[in-house]
Order: sequence, then C-alpha cells, then structure tokens
Amino acid sequence: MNEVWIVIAAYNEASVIARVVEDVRLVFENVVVVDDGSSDETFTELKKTCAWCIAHPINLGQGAALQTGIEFAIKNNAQYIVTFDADGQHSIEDVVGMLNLIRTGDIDVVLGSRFLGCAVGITKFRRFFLKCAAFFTGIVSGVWLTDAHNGLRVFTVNAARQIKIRQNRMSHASEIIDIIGSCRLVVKEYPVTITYTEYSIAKGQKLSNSFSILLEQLSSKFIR
Amino acid sequence: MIVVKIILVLFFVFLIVCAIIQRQRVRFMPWVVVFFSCCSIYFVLLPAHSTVVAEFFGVGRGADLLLYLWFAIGSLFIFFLTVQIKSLNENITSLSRFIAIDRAVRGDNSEEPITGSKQE
Repeated sequence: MNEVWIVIAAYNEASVIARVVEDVRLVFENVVVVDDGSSDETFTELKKTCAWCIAHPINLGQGAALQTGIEFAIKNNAQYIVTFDADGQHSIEDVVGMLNLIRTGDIDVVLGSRFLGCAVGITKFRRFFLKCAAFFTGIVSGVWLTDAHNGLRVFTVNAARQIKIRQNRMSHASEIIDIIGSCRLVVKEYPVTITYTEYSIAKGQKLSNSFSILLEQLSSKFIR
Repeated sequence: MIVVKIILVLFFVFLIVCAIIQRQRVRFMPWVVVFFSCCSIYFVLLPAHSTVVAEFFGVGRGADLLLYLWFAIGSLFIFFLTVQIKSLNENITSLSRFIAIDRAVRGDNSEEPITGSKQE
C-alpha cells in the first residue's frame, strides 16, 4: 500500500482527527492531513499521530486543502490518491474495495456512492437534497452519478494531475465532477457506507449553503 | 439646482483625478472613466444637449441616458473587480499552499522524523 496516499482535509477537528488518522494508519502508511487554518488544537493533535502534517497559514476552504494534499502526495510519488473526510464518517474497508476496483483496469477515478451502498442515519430531506444535487451536477457536467458529493474518492496519479481544484470552498465537489467530464476520465462508482453522527452532521455541509454552492458552480462556468 | 450641479461636477472631477492616478496600474478602464466623466460634466452643465443626444439614441431624456450609461459602466467595473479579486485569491491560495507544503512535518509518532516534502 506504499503507493497509496490518503489525503484528509481538516478544519477544527481537534476532537476526532487523531482517532481518524490512527484508524487509517492501521491499513495505509502514507497519510497526509491538511489543517486548513484551524482555530482549535487540530494541528497539535495531528502532530501526535504518524501522519504528514501540513498547515495552511490561513483558512482557504476544503477544496484548497484537498488540492494541497493532492499536490503533496504527487510530489511524494503517489500512484493512487484517496480523499477521505476528517469527521470519521467514512469506512477504511471501503477505501480498500475502491482501490481494488481502480487496480482492475482502465479506470481513472472511483467515487464512493452512499446511495449504492448505505447511509446510516441520513435524514429523508438530506437524501432527497443530495439526489437533486447529483441530478443538477449531471446536467452541468454530463457525468451522471448516483452521489456527486461524496468525499470518498480514489484517483490514479494521472487523473489527480489533471484534476486541479480551483474552487477553494465547498463547490469543489461539483468542480471535480466537471473536470472528470471535460477531461473524459473513466469514472466508476463504488457502494460505500457513510455513517452520520451528531458530530458529522454538525460539521458537515449545511443545506442552507447549497444556494451559495450553486452560485459558485454557475459563476465558475463564466469566470475561470 | 446649482448646488446639485456643483456637487456632480466635483464628483466627476474627483473620478477623473482618481482614474488618472490609477492609469499605470490598470490599462484600459481609467480612460473609459475619464471619457465618460468628461461627457457627464458637459451634460450636467448643458442638460439640453444631453437630451438631443438621448433623442438621437432613442432613449428620450438626457438624464435617463446618463443613468443607463453609468449603470453599464458600474456593472463593467464590478465584473472587472470580480475577476481581479478571483485572481488575487488564486495567488493567495498558491502562496499559502507553497508555504504549507514547504513546512510539512511528519507527526511525532512517526519512525521517520523527516521534515518537508521528500523530493525537496
């Protein structure tokens, strides 16, 4: 698993980040966590782990943090790059399955899908909202997915080099799909389990932010 | 009415001065502002002439023509500013990323106490 790098973007995750990193480290040696200008003790907690620790001097957003981690992984000869959420809602077994899938053939990107797999604790409204978001992203990008905003993704290094995230904030998820479509990368979905906890719901994307994400996504079409 | 005219003329003169001061930083827009400010001063002092021009363009009143023109210029400014702010943000992101990657450290629990990117 030496050629695999796990990239985690963290912002004010001091209470969970060490546990998440240690869980990942049970399987994967190379873990890079990008602390996106946290105001709590995230970086201190991070330094107690075995992961590579990168700290943005200011808060730039999750998209920027992921891009920083991806660039670091590429510099360190990664062959496969995995993006993984810092709030502990992803399962490491799913990452292993996704890596097995991407190694089988001509696949550039494997995206996790909670709707092919299982979303534990998801509300009906969030499920409906995420399906609408996937539909909208499909219209904009031409890439039709069951779950377009899942943080669990696996890229080959060639795909990662092509995917340069420029949307610093939350609309990076849609931007990644856009780039996959425009670069004609081969993408497959993989059923994953997402476990919603009170913590992950509180930390996760607010549905009220969806309007600004939509605006960001549309404006990025006109102003590159 | 004279007071309003004086205030408007002073405002457009101020715009012209600002645009001329900024002419070396931004290439095109200052001269657009100077041109339209000069036209505006002319039409503020001689409003009857603006109505003639407005009628030529089919707008009706001179005041409406000025309003539409300045609305268009304002929108153009906002667009240029948005592009410039986006470009600045990208520069800040690149700089922050460079600093962050340069200062990457391995956690204290690691067996390999390496600092910075392996290839650097």
